[in-house]
Amino acid sequence: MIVVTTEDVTGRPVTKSLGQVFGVVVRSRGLGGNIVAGLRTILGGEIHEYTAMVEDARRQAIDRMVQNATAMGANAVVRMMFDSSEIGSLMSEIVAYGTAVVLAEEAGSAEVRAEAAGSAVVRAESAGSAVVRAVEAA
Amino acid sequence: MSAFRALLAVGFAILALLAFANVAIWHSAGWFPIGFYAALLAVAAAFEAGRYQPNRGVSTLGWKATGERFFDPTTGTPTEVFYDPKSGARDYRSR
Repeated sequence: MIVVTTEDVTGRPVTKSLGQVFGVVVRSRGLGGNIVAGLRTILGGEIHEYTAMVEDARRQAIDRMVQNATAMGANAVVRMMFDSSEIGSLMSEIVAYGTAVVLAEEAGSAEVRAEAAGSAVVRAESAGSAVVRAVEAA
Repeated sequence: MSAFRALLAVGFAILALLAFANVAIWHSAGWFPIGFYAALLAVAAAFEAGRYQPNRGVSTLGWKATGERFFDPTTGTPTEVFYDPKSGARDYRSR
């Protein structure tokens, strides 16, 4: 699954647009984490408890968006963006959203190479059969 | 659990014990709410939901690398993202 913030993917034209796709999550720290984070504000600097909370929320929102896109039959999400807000001042809401699309297979991708290899094997078998037939005829 | 949080949990636990000891020995009921809230805070500081781990207990062998790499902002370790094409699930592996 390719997830990009651009409208298109270089060398991979969009063959089908499946519509909007999203992943939403609301996360909060526990009471202990909030107390420690509150105490950290006395001295200032990075509040590690909230950095971890927002990072986890980001990951979970993307995970849900990708799962939704997979369920729609997409192989990529284009124009992906994040939106965030707070709920009740202690909860972080993150939405990851974009457009689910089907991209054309890349020339030289694993799938295309496998198909080409399969065709080569078939051609080799055909050539082998022709040789056998020629030997039998001789 | 960070050292700071562990210290906080131990501090609240000691405060709760002292408050309950006050109630039990000197029958000073006024210390009961202090003990109760201190115990609650000690438990809250000690037991908090851990980091997000989407595939705990799930085999992620054979998943495809997405090419997405980043440094975990909390630990600083390089992390790589893998993907299951069947379910759409993603996995974060520290390198």
